[in-house]
Amino acid sequence: MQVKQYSVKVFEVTIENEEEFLAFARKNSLLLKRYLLLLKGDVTPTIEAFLEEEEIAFTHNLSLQPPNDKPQHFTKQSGLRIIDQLVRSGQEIIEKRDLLVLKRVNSGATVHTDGNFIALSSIDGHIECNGDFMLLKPSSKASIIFNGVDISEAMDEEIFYKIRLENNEILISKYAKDIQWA
Amino acid sequence: MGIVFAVISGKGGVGKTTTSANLAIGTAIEGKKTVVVDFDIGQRNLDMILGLENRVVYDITNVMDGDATLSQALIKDKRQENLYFLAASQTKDKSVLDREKVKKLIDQLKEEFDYIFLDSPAGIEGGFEHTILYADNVIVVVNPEVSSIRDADRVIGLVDAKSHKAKEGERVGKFLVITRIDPDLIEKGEMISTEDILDILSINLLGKVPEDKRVIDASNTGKPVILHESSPAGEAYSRIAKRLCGIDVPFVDVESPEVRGFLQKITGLFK
Ligand SMILES: Nc1ncnc2c1ncn2[C@@H]1O[C@H](COP(=O)(O)OP(=O)(O)OP(=O)(O)O)[C@@H](O)[C@H]1O
Ligand SMILES: [Mg+2]
Repeated sequence: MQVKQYSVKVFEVTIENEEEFLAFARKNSLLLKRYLLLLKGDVTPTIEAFLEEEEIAFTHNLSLQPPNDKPQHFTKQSGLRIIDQLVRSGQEIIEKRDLLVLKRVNSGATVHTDGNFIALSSIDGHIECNGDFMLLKPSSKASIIFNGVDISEAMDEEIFYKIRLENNEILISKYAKDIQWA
Repeated sequence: MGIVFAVISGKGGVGKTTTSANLAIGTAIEGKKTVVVDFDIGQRNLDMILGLENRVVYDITNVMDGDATLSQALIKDKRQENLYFLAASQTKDKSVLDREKVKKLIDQLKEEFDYIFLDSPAGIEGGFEHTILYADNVIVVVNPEVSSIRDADRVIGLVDAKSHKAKEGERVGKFLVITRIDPDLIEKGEMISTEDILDILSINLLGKVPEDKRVIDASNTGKPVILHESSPAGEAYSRIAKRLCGIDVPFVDVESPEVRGFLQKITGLFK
């Protein structure tokens, strides 16, 4: 016998409305494939068929700790990493700490952090942040994933946005056109 | 000790070979002993652009394999004093370039020449890597268009990661040439502005070259535009070559249609 142990990231979704859920799952299907979906609410046969077809793993009988304390916090380390170089196409930054990026993140570049993310120049590339807070200025080309959710389309102006995670809700607000330094 | 310039772009067909040929002639005109080397193994065309295709006997592979000496393979340009050319081999086998052999060749060239231009193949594979390996500087060639700029961004990152100098903690000079700038398209907003390109790539601007029909005529006749009188692209390359030789030449607006109109009027005078 062989026993192995894995840590799995679980994505909990409470279904209130079949159509709304399907729209969400369709839009984020690529992303959801990477998680185990824990479904709450009414998992209709249509939903089940869709997830099977898309090969998204799911379950609805798993009891987990209430997610007040986000599981990411286990991996997050304290401290701030500052990146004072352009992140160019083809480059990938993976960080567990908070990140402060001073220069651009260009199209074709990827930045992934389990901490908070602040970027002072334009973002054309791909950002994945699992922290509680982001401040950034995404262009229309950017793709921004915050705690597993693609929020790119919620930011359609080329200005700074402030994004927070509060009580498992993502709050996005316009911050400023440009950041004024003294 | 010579200075090595690798001419790179990532994306194909943006104007690397045209830029290599014209800048090599330009620096030779300024009195630098210059050699331009075709690193595009299997797809050589620098020989044609320079009008030297009939004079190629030995190529870079022959030198690296020891079948010919460097001086046997170097072709001296008859039109241009100070200018030499080393051809790529036309065999499809790209594996012929290996790091050690590249280093030996470049060391030899640095002994003999002031300026060494290496015309890189497109892409980011073997041939490209060998071109940047021992470069002191890279000249990044872009067209004002998104895919060219993204590919350029990628190769700039690779220069920092892979070149010998960068690995030793030394700085590799990075210079930008924006070419095939079409004032009409810039005016219509269909081309990316210089300001935006510099913002994205954030390297030093070496010069801007306008779209110019004569570039294509020139490659057919084997007489690069820098040798033509009154060619806007040729004049742009000549300014860039001077800048490479440390001469302070002001930047010229090649983007506004009016300025181009003015140039065209002057061109008319010579006809
Ligand atoms: N300023 C210009 N105006 C008009 N045409 C140009 C200009 N510069 C280059 N061209 C044309 O663009 C084409 C590609 O140029 P060139 O061969 O120099 O590119 P390259 O980057 O070396 O291509 P490859 O990646 O295939 O080696 C050629 O047909 C050339 O004549
Ligand atoms: Mg070429």
